[in-house]
Amino acid sequence: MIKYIIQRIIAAFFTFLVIVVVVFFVIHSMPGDIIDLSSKIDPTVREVILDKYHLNDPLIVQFGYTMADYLHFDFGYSLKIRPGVPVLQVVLERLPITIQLNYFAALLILPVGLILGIIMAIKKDTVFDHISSSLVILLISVPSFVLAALMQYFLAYKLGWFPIILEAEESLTWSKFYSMLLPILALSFGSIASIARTLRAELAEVLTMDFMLLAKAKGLSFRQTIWRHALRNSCVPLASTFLYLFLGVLSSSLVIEQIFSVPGLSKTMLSAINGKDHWLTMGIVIFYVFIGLFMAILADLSYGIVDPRIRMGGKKDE
Amino acid sequence: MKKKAIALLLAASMALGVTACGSGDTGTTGAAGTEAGGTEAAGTEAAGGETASGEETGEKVLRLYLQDTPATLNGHTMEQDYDLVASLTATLYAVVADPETGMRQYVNMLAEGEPEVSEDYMVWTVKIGEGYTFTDGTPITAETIEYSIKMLNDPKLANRNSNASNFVNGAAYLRGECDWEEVGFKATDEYTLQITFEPGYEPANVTAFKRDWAYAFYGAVHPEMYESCISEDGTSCTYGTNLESFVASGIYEPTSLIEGQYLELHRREDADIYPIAEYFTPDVVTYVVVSDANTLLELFETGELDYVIANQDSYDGYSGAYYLYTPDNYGIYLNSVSPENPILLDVNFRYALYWGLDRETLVEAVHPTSEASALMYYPWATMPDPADPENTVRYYDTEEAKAVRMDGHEITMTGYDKDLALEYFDKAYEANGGQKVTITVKYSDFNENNKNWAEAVTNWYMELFGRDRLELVLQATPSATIYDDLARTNMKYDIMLSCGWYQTVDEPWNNTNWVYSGAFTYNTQYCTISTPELQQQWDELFYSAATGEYRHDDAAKMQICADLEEILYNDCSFIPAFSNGNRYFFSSRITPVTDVGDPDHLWWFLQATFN
Repeated sequence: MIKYIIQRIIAAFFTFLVIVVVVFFVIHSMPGDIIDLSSKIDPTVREVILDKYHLNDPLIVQFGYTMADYLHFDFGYSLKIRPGVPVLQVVLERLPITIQLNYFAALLILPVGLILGIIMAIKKDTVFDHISSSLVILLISVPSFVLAALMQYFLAYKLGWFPIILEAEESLTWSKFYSMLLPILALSFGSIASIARTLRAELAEVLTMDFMLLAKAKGLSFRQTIWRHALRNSCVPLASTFLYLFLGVLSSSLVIEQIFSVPGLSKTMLSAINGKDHWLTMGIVIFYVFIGLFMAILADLSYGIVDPRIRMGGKKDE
Repeated sequence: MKKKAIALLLAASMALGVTACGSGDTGTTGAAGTEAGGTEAAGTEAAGGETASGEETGEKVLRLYLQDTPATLNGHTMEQDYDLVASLTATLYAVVADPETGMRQYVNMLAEGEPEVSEDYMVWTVKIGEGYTFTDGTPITAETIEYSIKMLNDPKLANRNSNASNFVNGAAYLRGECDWEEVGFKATDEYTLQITFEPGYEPANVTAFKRDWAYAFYGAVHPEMYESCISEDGTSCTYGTNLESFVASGIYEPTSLIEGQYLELHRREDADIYPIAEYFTPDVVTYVVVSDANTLLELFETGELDYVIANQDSYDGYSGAYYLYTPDNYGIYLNSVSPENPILLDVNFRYALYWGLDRETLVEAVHPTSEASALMYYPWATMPDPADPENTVRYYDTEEAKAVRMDGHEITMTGYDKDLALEYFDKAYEANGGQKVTITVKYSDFNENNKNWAEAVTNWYMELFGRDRLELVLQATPSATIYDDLARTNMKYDIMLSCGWYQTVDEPWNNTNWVYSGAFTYNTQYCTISTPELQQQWDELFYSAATGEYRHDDAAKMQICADLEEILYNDCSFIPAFSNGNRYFFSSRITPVTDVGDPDHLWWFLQATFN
């Protein structure tokens, strides 16, 4: 198992390197000038700035400088979005609210998605199942930002039940949490529907299997057969989905952050890309890549936890 | 054991998640060194709404919005939010709106009296008033301004807003080739500044000097704080990147900042040390960050914002609309030098496109808040009145402007003449051997409006000239690259839409400086005049007004302005179409300072009356 983990970490490291190299060259190959052409920048100033940031050097040389800095965990400074501020600091400033929003969304997604999926499977082909299935299809089909805009319009603007945008408070108070509800719901609906739909299908199939009949014959109650046998077997395909969901929600919060004026990382990344703040863009991309690879490793390992029959790292002939 | 570990992990992650936000906001309340006690407490109130800080105490709260909180409060490195930073920064002069006319006025802030200027306009001496301070009580003197300008132009910091080239030896200093003592910017005593300009960079007149020195770039930075923010190797500076690293010196000071979400300014308790403080009315200015257009409207309608710019059709009937046509001219660039599409080399074809564009109809249909304009310059641009240099005159009201002709035809605001357009097109078509003309038209894919505009314009032309004779093929282009394609060094287009250029409201002759092919201007050069002879003629005229013999001659510049414009019309490599416009709505809480003017600028809002 440990050997397998080490193998996965090494593989992830090389994947990380390849992505960083590709992202560096893609970002730096973007058309346009890192120094804003439309501004009246004096040519002398322009030259001095280009020299300072090695922008006059060939791209491969710039890449060398960047990698040398990265080896020292120096991610450089933001040039435009927060001039003079270290990239790491910008990421750390904007990250907490994004994590918090997605964390609360994940807290909602997992139990609601699971419970809805279980009920739908148990009540398969009933009116409840049909209505729920239609709702699930609707929530999967409609993009989260459409739901966000609709909820904001009707629940916040028309009915006044919620604040229109996120409360501007520094710490997590009740009023701030309350103002986060709409973005949390908007982020959650799609994932809840996705989990419920997958679980319904898996569970409905497991419920018809012979070992479920055996479990009942052994005298287990209906609830015990569901929790101990059916659900665990149904969750194997879902194990990785749970982890990737978090990553998915993290990236899908971009438009939601715009709509509810959430000062998160996604919005900063968009600004950095549009503003050609390459160092900041790189920093944020590296963060997302790191999280993605970390989740991938966790997802692989989770199979063994959910289903002990799966041996991690075992060879075919062992 | 396993279950306990999982439960523990869950509990820990929950605690992490819940507390994640608490420490994330580094730009928090409390301006460094503030003496204005009592204002900080207001910092963490909810943004906007009835509970906006200060309202309970009867303070006048102006509620505005931003696309994002300022990237920095350091004027040396900022790229936007100039007016906001200017309100926090003491500058030699400040800009305000004339309550009578709405026109901009440049008034003294740190400066005292009028500047003394040498006969050749090269050396300017400014007296600074006594008693001005930063919010922490540090005095602002001529030495403070000299320090600020020195650091602005520091070779190691390489600040983007450097103005070193303006001064004698400034460019050399920026390149590290001489000491600051040799640069033409000196505090000759505690309250006197002497500025010696590099030839060609000297201000044309007193108004131009005041305008230049009203920019926040050239305001006071707090020397002690600034020094403490410079990195060990001297190549970066964190001054103004949060409230702890900034000391205000203007009328207002920032008291609360939540990065990416909220900013609050308070009027300094001692703001009256500046005579110009009387122009500005709010005690508190709050900014919420909102970038979604629908959210903005909802916040305005629920009374959480004091103004909004709304271009939605649904607002057409809304009363209280205030229109502003900004000095951005948009139009059609024609590549009149490319051999790849020879029809564009034919001036008759270009004239046909100019006169064939029904700007009123198309602009009304696609950009209803903009103003159709076939004029090369900003339609409301002013110039010093040669007969009375103290006053200004609208350029297009002058005889010089009225005398301008395009191939003998009078210029009008809308510039549409169907018969004339068809006459020119027939000539061009015939010269093309009666062959169908096919041209690719590039446009920016930035938004749906750009696409609509491109479709409307191309369809209009094809209908007008006949689809059997003219085919315009649309090609969407990423907005990030469109100006690169347009740059004279690239010229990757035949016809380009969705582009425009910003104009200064008081120097129309300088409005088309992107056409200049010499080395003086440091704007990117776009477009080009089709023949080298005309280009040279245009360059010489431009140079004589910008930096040459007529630099200080208002009457000559008026004529040059018209001559430059006439060359552009007759060359017709650029077809003006409209002046971009915005529609402002104000809440009933405030009355704007004038019915006309620049609501694009914070200083205009700060002069509103509270109802």
